Amino acid sequence: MRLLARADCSGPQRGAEVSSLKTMAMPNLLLRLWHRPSSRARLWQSLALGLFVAAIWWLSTNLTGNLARRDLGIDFRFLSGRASFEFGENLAGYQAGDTFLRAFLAGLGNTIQVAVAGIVLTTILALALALVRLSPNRLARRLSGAWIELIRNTPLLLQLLFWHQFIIRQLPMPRQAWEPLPGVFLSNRGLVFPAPETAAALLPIICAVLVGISVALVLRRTPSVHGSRFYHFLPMCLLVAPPLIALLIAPPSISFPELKGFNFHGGSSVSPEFIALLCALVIYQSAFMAETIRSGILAVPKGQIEAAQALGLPRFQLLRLVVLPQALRIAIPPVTSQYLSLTKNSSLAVAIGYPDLVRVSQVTISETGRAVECVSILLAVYLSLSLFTALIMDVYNRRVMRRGGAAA
Amino acid sequence: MNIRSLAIAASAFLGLMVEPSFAQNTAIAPQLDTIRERGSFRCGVYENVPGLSALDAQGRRVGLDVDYCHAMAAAILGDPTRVEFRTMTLAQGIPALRSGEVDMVALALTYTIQRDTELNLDFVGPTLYSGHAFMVHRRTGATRLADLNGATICVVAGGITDSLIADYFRARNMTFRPLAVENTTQMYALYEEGRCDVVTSEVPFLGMRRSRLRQPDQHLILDEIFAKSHMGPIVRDDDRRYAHVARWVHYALVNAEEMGITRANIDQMARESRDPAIRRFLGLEGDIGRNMGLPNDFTQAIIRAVGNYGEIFERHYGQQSVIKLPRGLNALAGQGGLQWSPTWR
Repeated sequence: MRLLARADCSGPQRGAEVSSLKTMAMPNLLLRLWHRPSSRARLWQSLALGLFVAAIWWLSTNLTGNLARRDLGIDFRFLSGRASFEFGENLAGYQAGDTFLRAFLAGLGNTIQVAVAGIVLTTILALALALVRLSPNRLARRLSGAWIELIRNTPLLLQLLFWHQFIIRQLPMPRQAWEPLPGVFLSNRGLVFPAPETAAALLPIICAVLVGISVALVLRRTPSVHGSRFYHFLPMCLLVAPPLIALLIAPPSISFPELKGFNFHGGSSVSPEFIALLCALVIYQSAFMAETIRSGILAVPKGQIEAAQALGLPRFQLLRLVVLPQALRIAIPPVTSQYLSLTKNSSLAVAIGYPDLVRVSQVTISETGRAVECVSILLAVYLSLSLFTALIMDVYNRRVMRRGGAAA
Repeated sequence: MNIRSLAIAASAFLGLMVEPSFAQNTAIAPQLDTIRERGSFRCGVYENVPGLSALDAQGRRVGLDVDYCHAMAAAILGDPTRVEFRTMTLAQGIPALRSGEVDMVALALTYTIQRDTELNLDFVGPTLYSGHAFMVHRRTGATRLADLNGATICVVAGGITDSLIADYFRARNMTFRPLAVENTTQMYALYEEGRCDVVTSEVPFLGMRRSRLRQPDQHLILDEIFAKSHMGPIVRDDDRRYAHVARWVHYALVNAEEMGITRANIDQMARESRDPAIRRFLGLEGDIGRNMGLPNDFTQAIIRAVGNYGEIFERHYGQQSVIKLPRGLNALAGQGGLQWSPTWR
């Protein structure tokens, strides 16, 4: 518009301008469009979009064409068929003879177990490691630095195999199992410990814990008498007292493990594969996360630390009240990606025989031949897990940002 | 990552999955032509299972399955060395075959009705008649299958073995704890460490593996076979001509043994034999081979490459190998076993 105005600035009206535009030769118009940055940008973008759409179209027709030619077809009805393989311990209660869908849920349950336990332990270990890495003691700094470098630069699969071999070889056979605590046995078949006979027996305790937490949350909002020791310890009492009372009123019946025949019966167990997988994942991921947290801590302005020291805060309180809240705000996005990485790395469980989602997918493929469907289920599940984790961390991130903004 | 972009991505993914109308429905070229054009025969085998497919001291791949791959290459291409070996695990075998990545998989897969009908595969052979058995540590004290209630059993992931065991145990109200690992070497290593009480495989392989353990006499192979297992290489059945070739390569090997033709005397037989049956078999008379789409003397190429079935068996599982397995069920039908070939005319 501006170019046209400059060319014909005196005289003809706007309508005449447009008609004179139409009488101009086509090449002239194209040249003008070409010289204008905005329309040029639009041209490149539509070209790029066109290429992208063409690529997606080609990929999808390739996939469907090959599937049709090989007569493989995509059909998810196999999920209601009966699976006849054994899976081992799982939360979904799957046994040989249940549906494939149940088997997938069992695998998913195992994967989530590893992911959740892994995330919790990794965060704790990474925080500790980051603090050691920043300690004033030079030996501590160097040693932790060497440890982090070693762990970060070795492939995870090798570390996993190492831990697996280590645990399997060091632990004794069930007949000579170690008994660190009465009723708790450690052998190369896993860690068995006494547990309530049914999950329902834990229900009163869980309810009590939830009641305690909600009362504590409610009380946080009500104004308290500052300096009173009672209010200082109230949250802790609320967390501990109700479960204790529930235990006294309705004690759950505990089953103790006993060695019978090949293995321990009764109680609950954790397999050595799970322990090995957890060790490897936690140690590997915590090395990366420690560096992330350390960079967050270093990014806190030096003035904050100096001010806190001027106030006379001891080191622990300085960390807890001043440094870490600000550091975690910075560190949360990269820490989120570490969590996602841990969840996806748990699929290496296949290498040591821990039954998780990938194993279910493998067996299902060999029993039903539905490779494309099973792999797409795997992809969808891992994608959903990762997106869900990212969503939760995003909510937490926004809350911290809001609070940080108000405090600053 | 907000809800809107998530919704767009999800709908795009679903749209891709359910869009058959854009499919390119071109027919696949005949498999024999594809192989000849490529110039090599693609075979899926194990990386390292002694007897089936392993590397020898000179770095060459040897084994029963390997010999079948060479036989196929000899029949179709005339040159047994033109084989591309793709090493794979048990779990990868059937998907690789069905997607067209390999022409044949030779992973000692059991002949099952579902693999034949539902998965559209054809079996070559069986090249080994056998059954599944268990090997246990002697210290567990188990001597019969009924003693294995509650045991931890190591299996290889991706086959039907753990389903067979589950069926067997469920029928007898017994339980077991499975431990599924990726490959056989790892499985036997875990068994030897004591992580599992029992390991399972087909009888010939158990014997061979036991001889490789540190203390072979500490392990007992239970006599009872809990499931039959007749194994052989597999091909896709969408190209009938090619599937016929695959099956008749195996029958050629067995027929050669029935007729007494070996790698040593094939040249002499081809030159001097007056027996019409032998001449027809070797392609010197008639045009059986030509009608199959192969050179008329394809059987000669096969036998010159790998010998007959008996020689293959003896080389990898019999007296010339370390396993020293008796022919047993794998002997010729006329000699008390199950290996047979249809009439060659």
